[in-house]
Amino acid sequence: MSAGEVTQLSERSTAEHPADAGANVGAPVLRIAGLSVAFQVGRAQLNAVEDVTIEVYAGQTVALVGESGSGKTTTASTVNRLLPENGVITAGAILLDGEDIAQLPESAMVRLRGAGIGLVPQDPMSNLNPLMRIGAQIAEALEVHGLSKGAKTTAKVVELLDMVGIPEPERRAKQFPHEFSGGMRQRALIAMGLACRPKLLIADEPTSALDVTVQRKVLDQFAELTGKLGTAVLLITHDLSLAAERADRIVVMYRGRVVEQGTASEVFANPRHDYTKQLLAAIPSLSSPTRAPVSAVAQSAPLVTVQGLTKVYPVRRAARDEPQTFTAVSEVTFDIPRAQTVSLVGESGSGKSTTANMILGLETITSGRVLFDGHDITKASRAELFAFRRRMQPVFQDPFASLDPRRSVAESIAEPLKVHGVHDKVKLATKVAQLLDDVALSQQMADRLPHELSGGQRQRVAIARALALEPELVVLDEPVSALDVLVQAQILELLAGLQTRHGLSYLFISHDLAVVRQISDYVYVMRRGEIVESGTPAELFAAPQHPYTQELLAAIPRH
Amino acid sequence: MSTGRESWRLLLKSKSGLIGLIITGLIVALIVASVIGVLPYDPITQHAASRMQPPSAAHWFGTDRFGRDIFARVAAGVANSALIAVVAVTFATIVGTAAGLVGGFFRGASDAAISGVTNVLFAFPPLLLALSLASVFTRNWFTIAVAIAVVYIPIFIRVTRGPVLTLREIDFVRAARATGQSRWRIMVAHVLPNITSIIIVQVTLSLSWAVLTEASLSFLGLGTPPPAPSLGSMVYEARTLLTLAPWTMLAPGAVMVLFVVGLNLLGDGVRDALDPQSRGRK
Repeated sequence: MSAGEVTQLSERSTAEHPADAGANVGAPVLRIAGLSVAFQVGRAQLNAVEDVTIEVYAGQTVALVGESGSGKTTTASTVNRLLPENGVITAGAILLDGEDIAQLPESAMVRLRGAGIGLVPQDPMSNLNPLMRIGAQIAEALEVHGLSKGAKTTAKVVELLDMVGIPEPERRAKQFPHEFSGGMRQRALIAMGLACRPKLLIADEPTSALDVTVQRKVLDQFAELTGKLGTAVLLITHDLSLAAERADRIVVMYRGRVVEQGTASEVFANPRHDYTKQLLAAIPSLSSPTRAPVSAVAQSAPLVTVQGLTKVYPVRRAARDEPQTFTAVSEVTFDIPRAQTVSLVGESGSGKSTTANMILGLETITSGRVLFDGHDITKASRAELFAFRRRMQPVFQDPFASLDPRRSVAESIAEPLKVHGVHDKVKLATKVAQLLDDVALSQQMADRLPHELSGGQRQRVAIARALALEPELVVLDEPVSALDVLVQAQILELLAGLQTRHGLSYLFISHDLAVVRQISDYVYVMRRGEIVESGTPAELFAAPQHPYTQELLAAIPRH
Repeated sequence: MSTGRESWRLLLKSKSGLIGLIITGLIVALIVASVIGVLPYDPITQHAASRMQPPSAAHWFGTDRFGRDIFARVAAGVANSALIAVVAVTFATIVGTAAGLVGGFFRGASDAAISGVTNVLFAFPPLLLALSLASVFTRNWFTIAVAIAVVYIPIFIRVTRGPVLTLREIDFVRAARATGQSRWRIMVAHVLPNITSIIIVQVTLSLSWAVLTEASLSFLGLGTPPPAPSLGSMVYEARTLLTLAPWTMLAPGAVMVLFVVGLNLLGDGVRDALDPQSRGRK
């Protein structure tokens, strides 16, 4: 299909759906036409984006969906003309209000950025200057474009903060980023993006670093504001359900190309491209099947019993009236039955990882007991603990941090075996080969270094390493939350398969309720260090009792 | 290891790395020539007949007021400076890295003690500290090397401790702990290898500073005692002859500058070559 045909098609489809486009009369605010972008790598040119055509009308939100590496962020950076040095536009045009900005000189782009095109970046933690007050950072955006000066700016900043829903805006404007929570920082970034009332706002994964309940509130506010101001929004996300809930139109990108676009309901009800179909099938949702309940008769004594586990941290530099300690985990009690999956669910800071670390013996325990197969490991001697370590192994969240960058895959997998006294080279090699097989990695991977692997492959290596000692319990701390949705589905499937084959018990930690629902036998909901509710997925998700669980469930984007 | 070869390739590809490598290579050749004694003149023997001769085919850098060949003296001086700098930096690297590693990895009392000493040492201006240490010891090349090393130890402690603090919390280190490895083993097997590139860069950059510090000390009369030649003392002796025989100062000065610039460029090149972010930019 040529660029021209695509354009015609999309024009027709917008004309057919005038309602979903809001007030999209006349020309689109942004029109990307047949855009191709390439990166110069050595002498070769790598095409990152090919023949992409997208239109965004005033007041409309268009979501750009795809996995990492699909070209969605490159497309967005091209609109802002913030490509890396080796990136070049090889074809196509970017029309902002009819003017081709692909050809504009850098000086004109500087004036346009912020004023004509606003940007809400992904990570609220790293996108604010930690040494500048929030108010001053927003004021900067206004003053750079000469939109206001002096006392007027201060008033405008307060108004903006108020607009994005920050309480006590006057006081908050004088605070530093570290005094803001993640959600509030993201609101401040939205305020900065909207400060100059741009016609187009690019929101690059604006809420993926936030907890679900916060995500929901921030997105609600965001939608209300852009609706009121008539801003055209290009929303970049890897989360298809979020796109479905928040966008008027969805553009699915795969390997640098637009493979499908249409209204949310069109794409969901009738996906045409195979990739979209795969994506839709891979999304863990609250309607996908749960596991069959294990019959109570089959139950023997649990593998792990956690009793009254508590962790208290001393607070450094606490002011006189403030508490001197912080309770991260308080009186947590639960069992992990054999060959089953028990999940801990909660938002960041709820104490779920601390609980896991205490069970693994990576964190000291303030009080409470952990019984592993009937033995209290909190009282175990060094030698006993060493023996217990064989029987429980962790898999962590970040596939990029969980492997030593200087060791090959085979070395990483073999290391736990060496620690526990297996030194015979032939034995090690056979075991590594078998473990690679177990996690469905080819034998050629053995000599690779971690940086030569994809995120999903690294996570498979981390799982193989955890299985090397043939443990009975595997603690999975957010094992799939850093992965793309398709890879996520594959890893979950792998984990389920390994569980059946080896009779493993899992302690699964996640913030993602849909994933938890899919793989757990029993779920504990944690909040502020305490377990607030527990039950089988069927019970818990059908009739949540605690208001926090209800809030968590309500916050999940649905389609 | 493939990453090592890749780093070499990147080093030779970077302009500053290549130039630094060439300059340092030339100076090393000069040092070797001086040490094995293939140079035509002895740096110490005086020749009254050929005093203060300008550069010529016989004496490439001319002669000084005792008729000694300046080329031979410069070569011997560079060898001397290089020896002191290498010994000083080696000592500082071993002690500083070990202290930074232990402090950062184990935290607690050892960290408090190590950081305390580091902060005290940092409070002194480096040259002043080296000066006072050099004036306390009996002067020979080894004590001077130790004096310089003491100044550089805190830098190595700081450079190592920071990354170690990050690495001790990283997932692969936690995974290693969960397999039951001892903390010492984790420190040596997982943490140390991951800070080597930082240390290598710091070593290259510290060498050039150590050469300068040694030259400053001998310029101030606290370096290697005469008649052994040293670049700093040669510049000092030449300062009254500047108008009569400018080559007596220019030659050691120029070689010193070249040596320091060469090491700095090499350090820059090494840093770029070992920086994972520059990988893939081929």
